[in-house]
Formats: sequence, structure tokens, C-alpha cells
Amino acid sequence: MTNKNSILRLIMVFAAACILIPVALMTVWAFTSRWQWPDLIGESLSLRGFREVFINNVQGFRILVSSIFISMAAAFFATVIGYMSAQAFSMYDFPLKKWLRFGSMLPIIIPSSIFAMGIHVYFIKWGINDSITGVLAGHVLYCMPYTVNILGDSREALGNKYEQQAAMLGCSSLKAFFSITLPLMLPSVISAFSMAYIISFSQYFITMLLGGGVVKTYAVLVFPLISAGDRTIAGAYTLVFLLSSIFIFMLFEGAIKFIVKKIVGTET
Amino acid sequence: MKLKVENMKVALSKKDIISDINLSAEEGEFLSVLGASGCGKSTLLKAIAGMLPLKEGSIFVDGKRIDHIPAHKRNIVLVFQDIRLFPHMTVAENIAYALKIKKIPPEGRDAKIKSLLEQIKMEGLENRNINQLSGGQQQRVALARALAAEPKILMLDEPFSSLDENLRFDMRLLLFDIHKRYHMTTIMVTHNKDEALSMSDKIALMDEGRVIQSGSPEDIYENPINYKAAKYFGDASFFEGTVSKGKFNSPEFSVDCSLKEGKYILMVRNDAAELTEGDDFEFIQRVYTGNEEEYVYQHGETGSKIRCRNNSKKTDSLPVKASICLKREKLRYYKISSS
Repeated sequence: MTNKNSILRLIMVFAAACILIPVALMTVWAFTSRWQWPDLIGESLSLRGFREVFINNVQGFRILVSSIFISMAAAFFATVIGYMSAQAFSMYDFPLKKWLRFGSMLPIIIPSSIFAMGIHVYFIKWGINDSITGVLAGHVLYCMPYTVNILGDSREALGNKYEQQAAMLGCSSLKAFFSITLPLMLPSVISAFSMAYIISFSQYFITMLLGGGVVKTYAVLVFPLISAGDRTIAGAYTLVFLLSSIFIFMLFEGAIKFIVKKIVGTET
Repeated sequence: MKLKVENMKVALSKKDIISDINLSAEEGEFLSVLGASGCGKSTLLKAIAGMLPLKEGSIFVDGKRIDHIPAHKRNIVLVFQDIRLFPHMTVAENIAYALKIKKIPPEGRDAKIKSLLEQIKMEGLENRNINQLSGGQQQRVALARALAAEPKILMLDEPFSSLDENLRFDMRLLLFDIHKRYHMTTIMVTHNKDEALSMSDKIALMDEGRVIQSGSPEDIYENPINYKAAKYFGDASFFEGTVSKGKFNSPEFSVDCSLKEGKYILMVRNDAAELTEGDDFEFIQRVYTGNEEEYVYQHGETGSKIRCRNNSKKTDSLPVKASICLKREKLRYYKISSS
């Protein structure tokens, strides 16, 4: 038992190190003008990277904001549609259910480039290529497998027993959803939204292809900067990327808890 | 409110689960639906509550047909066997949930919650989380929440099945007290005959998706309609025999009766058999249950067993070999169909 715990702790430390060390390095780079090998620390403190993000590149900040909105919208639609699909797969029996469930996973099973090119053909036909609508639809489709999976498991575990009980007490199914199902599924909803948000926010290839260069997101903006080799600017951009995502997660969690509290009058 | 169920049939996955159900409960009556596991009792409650659609038949409350009305508008509350308290709410919030749906203002809600908690003897526990309550306490809260909804008809699905014997008794008393206080038509599903017999004004006995007998506890216990009904209540021994020329004859007994000729099963309740002098039965076991003492005797030739009571309570005088004398007025016969 102790051995097992030690191994688990070791794995956790390793996983945390894999995440935190690059973030720490990136943070140091974002605030350093030059950091040459074999120096242990950078030569001098510099805010050049952040000046570039927020002052020099005015377009960059605008793209960050619009990107946040696109990703929030994509995450919202992917979570809502994902919930509906999860509800259908978990609660109902219908023909071809197994195949449809498998089909909902296809965007992550097939390579994203093939997926993007496939839907691009249809988006051209429907006239929604090179537009925010097209990018948004592409992001939603790409995020759906994650939201369906996360919400499906918890929807199945929850079952419909509490909704039945609410109906017995005179509650309509819509009110039962907001007062019972949603609060009980809140951890999964937050996970699904966060996952969809981060996938959409970091999406490069799908955005490039479906947006046709007209729709620019933060990932599209950051990618060439990182490739260019200016680590200070790349560090600043990626740090903003990371902090904005954390801020959105906290905002979403707070907002949904506030809404649920207003509806049911309870803490969740 | 008076409940009437006519020719109800319910199917699940194209298989008929219950059929030809005719049932009624008068206003303020306590009806128990009794039967073995899987006989369709819970399906019946769910269909009345509106959670399962009817394949055939109709449901009336006070003469008004309700089977087309959605579950949440029927004002019939079902307390499920697995209790189903909302885990993200406290005791008070669970009870308040029903009150909020009824749009009772906050000040009225608080008073009602206090009164209901008093009735279920859980004052001071309103802010407890559900997972901090014992099984019995959870059952009480579920009952209070159901009462808060002020249902026309209260239905309980095996409400005491998860409780131990002492709690079960307390809960029976509590439910009985609440039923009397609210004078609410109450339907309880149970597989426990003692529960049904001790609490009900009327019992409906179910078997294989049908109500095979309904009536008062005394009637249903004393006069089971058929062999299956008789067997369900236990407390009896059964002997197969033939009636001819006004006499029931089996290898064990010969009893005068006024039945048509044919094959019958004789039911002998434990209190209908008394020991007399003789040697055709042999003592094999003493069954002591605390408040009763029964003895099992075995017939020497057929090996069939009979349980009888020793009213004298003198265990030392119990004969190893004896004959059994039957009280004719307590005997019941069930015809065996020739097919």
C-alpha cells in the first residue's frame, strides 16, 4: 500500500514537473531581454514582450479579445449540443445508437487535417468558409467528441431518478433540469466547457483552413511569432494565452455557480 | 381523494408487465399493494404516478380521468424505494423544494418546514446535509418532502425495506400517525405481509402482473381466494386430497366438508391444528420466534409436514408422536383444476 502510494506520488510529481517547468521557463523568458547559455538567469528584466502584446501590436490585443469570444461561443455550443447528445445516448434507445455514438467520436479519431479539409469542402458549398460562422462551426464540431464523452459518462451515472422525483413533486422537466440536473452535473459541465474552450482557443490548422486567413485567432497570431525564434515575445504571448484561459475558466465557473444559486437558491 | 384504476395494462419493451388491473381506494383510505418481488407492484405505482404510459385502461381521481395528464401535474406524489433526496441540498432545502414549486412565499415556507420537521421528529436538523443522515432519517425527510407537496394521493414504494427492524416499527407508527392526521389517500407497495396487515384499511394482492385479490386485511388473511394467495401469507400447511361423498380425504387427514367432488388442496393455518393422542405424526422441530412457539410434525407415511401451536406452552409435555386435530371452521379448500 505504501509502495503504491509512493509510486503514485512520484507519477504526480513527474506530471506536475512536466507542466510547471516549461511554464516557469516561459515566464522567465517573457520577462527577460536576453538569456544566453550557460547563464543561470537572464541578463536583465524586460517588459519588451508585454509592450509588444499590449501596446505595439494593437491588433494583437483585439485578436485576443475576439478569439476569447469565438472560443467561448464554441465551448458554449459544444457543451450544449454535447449535453443534448449525451442525454440522447445515455437515456434513450433508438436505431443505430451505437454507430451514431461512434460517429460522434470521429473528429478526434481521424487526423485533424483530414477532418478540416473534409468539412472545408462542405463549408465552401454552404458558403460559410472564410467566415467567423465557419470557424465557429468547425471548432464546435472538433470539440464535440470531448464534450459528449465527458458529459455522457456523468449523465449516465446520474440517471434520471432525481428528475423523476422532481416531477413527482410537481416540477416541470425544464425547471428540473436547471434546479436538479445542472447543479449535480456542474463539475462535468465545467470540465466539458473548459476542455472545449482550450481546444478551440489553441486551434491553429482548422482556423487557418476554415478562416482562410480572414478570421484570425490568437493561436493563428502566436504561431508565427513562436516560430520566428524571439523567445521573449513568444513567452509573453504564451503567458497571456495561459492567463487569459485561466481567467475564462474562473469566470465561467463563477458565472454558472451564480446562475444555479439564483435558480435553486442553494450552494452547489 | 378517491382513486380508481380500470383495466390497466402497462407494457415495457413490448412485454406486458401488468394487465387487467382494477383497483380502487376511497378517500383517506390506506391501501397496501402486496406481492412478491417482480410481480409488478412498483410498475403499478409508476403508472398511477404518470411515469409510465398505459397501454390500456384508465385512471380516475375523484371521478376525473387523469391518465393523459403529465406526471408533474397529477398532484400524486410517489416516495421511491431508493429515497431520492436531492444530494446537493440540505434537509430544509429538500423540503423547501416542494414548497417553492407550489409558490409558497419564503416566510410561509420556513413555518411549514419547521412544522414538518416537528412531525417527523427531526427538529434542529434542517441544515444537515443529506449524506450526514442515517437511513431512517433520510426516509423521514423524504416523507416530509412528499407531504410538503400536499399531494391528493401519497404513494410509497417499499418505504421501509432498507431499514432495520426497530426503525421499521418506528417508521410504521410515524406513517400511520401522519396518515391519520392528514387523512390522505395513501398507497403503499410492500412485499412484507406483516406491514400490509398491520397498517392497511385495504390490501390488494398481486401476482404475475395481476391483482388476484383485494379486500380488508382480515378478509384477505382469513379467506385467501386461491392457493397462491393462501401460500403468500404463509402461517399454514397444505395437503392435497380428494373430496367425495362430503369428505375430504388425504393420506394425512379425513375431514367432513360440503364441497363438490374433485381434487382439492387443504389449507391448515398454524392455529387451526391441535395435538391429540395418536402416533401418525412425529415431532421434528421447535420453532421459537420470541412471542410465539410453533412445532413442526411430520407425517409418518407421506413425510408431509404440519406446523401447529402449543397453546399450553408446556414444552416438557410435548409428545414425540401425536395425531393432529383440525378446527373445521378455520380450514380452507382450493380446487385443483383438472387441466
